Amino acid sequence: MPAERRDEKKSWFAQTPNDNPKKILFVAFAVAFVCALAVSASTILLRPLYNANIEKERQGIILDLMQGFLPAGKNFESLRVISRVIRLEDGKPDPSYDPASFDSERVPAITLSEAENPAGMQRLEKSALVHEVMDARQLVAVVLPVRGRGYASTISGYLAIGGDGTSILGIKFFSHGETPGIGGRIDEKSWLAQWRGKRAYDSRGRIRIQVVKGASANERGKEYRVHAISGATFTSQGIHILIRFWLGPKGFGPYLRRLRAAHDAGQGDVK
Amino acid sequence: MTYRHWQTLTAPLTDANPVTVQILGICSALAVTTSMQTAVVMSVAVTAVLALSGASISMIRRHVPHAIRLIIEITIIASLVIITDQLIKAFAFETGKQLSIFVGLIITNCIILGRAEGFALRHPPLPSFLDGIGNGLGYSAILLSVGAVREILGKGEFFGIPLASSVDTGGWFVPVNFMLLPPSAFFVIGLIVWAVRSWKPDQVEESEFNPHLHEER
Repeated sequence: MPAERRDEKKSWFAQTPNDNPKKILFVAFAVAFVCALAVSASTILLRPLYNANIEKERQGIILDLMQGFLPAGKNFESLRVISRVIRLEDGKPDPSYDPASFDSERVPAITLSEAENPAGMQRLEKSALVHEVMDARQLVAVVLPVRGRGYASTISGYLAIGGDGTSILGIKFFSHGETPGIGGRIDEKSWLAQWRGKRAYDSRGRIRIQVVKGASANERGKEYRVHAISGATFTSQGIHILIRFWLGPKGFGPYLRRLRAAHDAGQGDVK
Repeated sequence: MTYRHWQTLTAPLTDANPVTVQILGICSALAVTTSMQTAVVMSVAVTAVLALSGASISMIRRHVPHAIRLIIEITIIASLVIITDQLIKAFAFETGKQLSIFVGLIITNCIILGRAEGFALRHPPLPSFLDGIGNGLGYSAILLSVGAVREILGKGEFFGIPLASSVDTGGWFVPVNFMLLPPSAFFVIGLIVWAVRSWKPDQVEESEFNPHLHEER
């Protein structure tokens, strides 16, 4: 028997019975150590590939969003997308970051209290990367990253706002862990489509867009209402809160206010 | 390869199929079989985890203390599943998104712990590895058959390639939407079990309960 031959070498490990407490601890630690090593190594080695996939997906989502609001008779070639890093507090361009290598996780952030932060984010970075879609010298849209707490996960996505700084062109989410078939329906085209053409602010600059339960016969304010997903109250509420947070003073409010001012001044481009 | 190795590899395909005979691993079979692509990736992932976990558990089988044997098995299986998940995210990102949580749930797939407990702890690494491959292939065979039926009837496609033009696009094919819902997998698996047991009547279990409907009072 091979097992007996191994015993003759009289190594401690081979000789000790399996129910010896020292051996139990040793085997447990050894297995845990080897497994931890393997898992860490695979994570570190594959992280660049994974991140590249995520990045590609985000680009795809921005393109998808743009497809939804391409001006009639235009194609992508005639549009230019300018990525710009802006300061959230005043909405002005932030020259200290290069848009090409911008990583929102490495930007200084502030911590918000629960009251200031209904969207449930742990940190709010001071600067953000926005994508401005230009048609010749005219700003047709801005694509803004948004995120917030849903029912069981953080929902992240992009919100496209028209060059006027208030009309909503589209919204799309790229990562969430909502219940498939319930909250997960935020990915459905039919639900996303109703955002198109809504307005975020009224003429006095107040945030008016809301996600509401139930249909309202009232025609007034229709352009501010998006229907909630039935059965997904928490997810719908989460989207409502996160959109309003990012349109608000702590989010892209100042930036969009500048867009509206520039639009009203008739130049369309914000500098 | 000896005859016994060959048997270890091929028995789980029909005579000891983990899905149709032991009725294990049904949960993931319901969830990932709406299309062939997800079924293929899931099959490869489960087969790899089964084979590697069997081989590595078998390698340390003589030194696994009985008291913590389940913890050790689960640790090894979980690590392999995490690595598989990372590989899928790196190389098959889109399919990985559709599989979502079900890759992680391979950890709780009864087939894997079942083979570790029932086979790898008592056999040398090579047979354990082959047993893992065999069971993985047995599971894959069912997964792919169910996936084929559901994708063809539910979407009129095979591997995403349209086979028939559906009524939405002006053709004649009416997709059976029911086939895309999880319960349909129960029916398809049930039909497969029925077919296999008609072919191999040995697999039919004795009924555990006989209602004496015509018994005299």
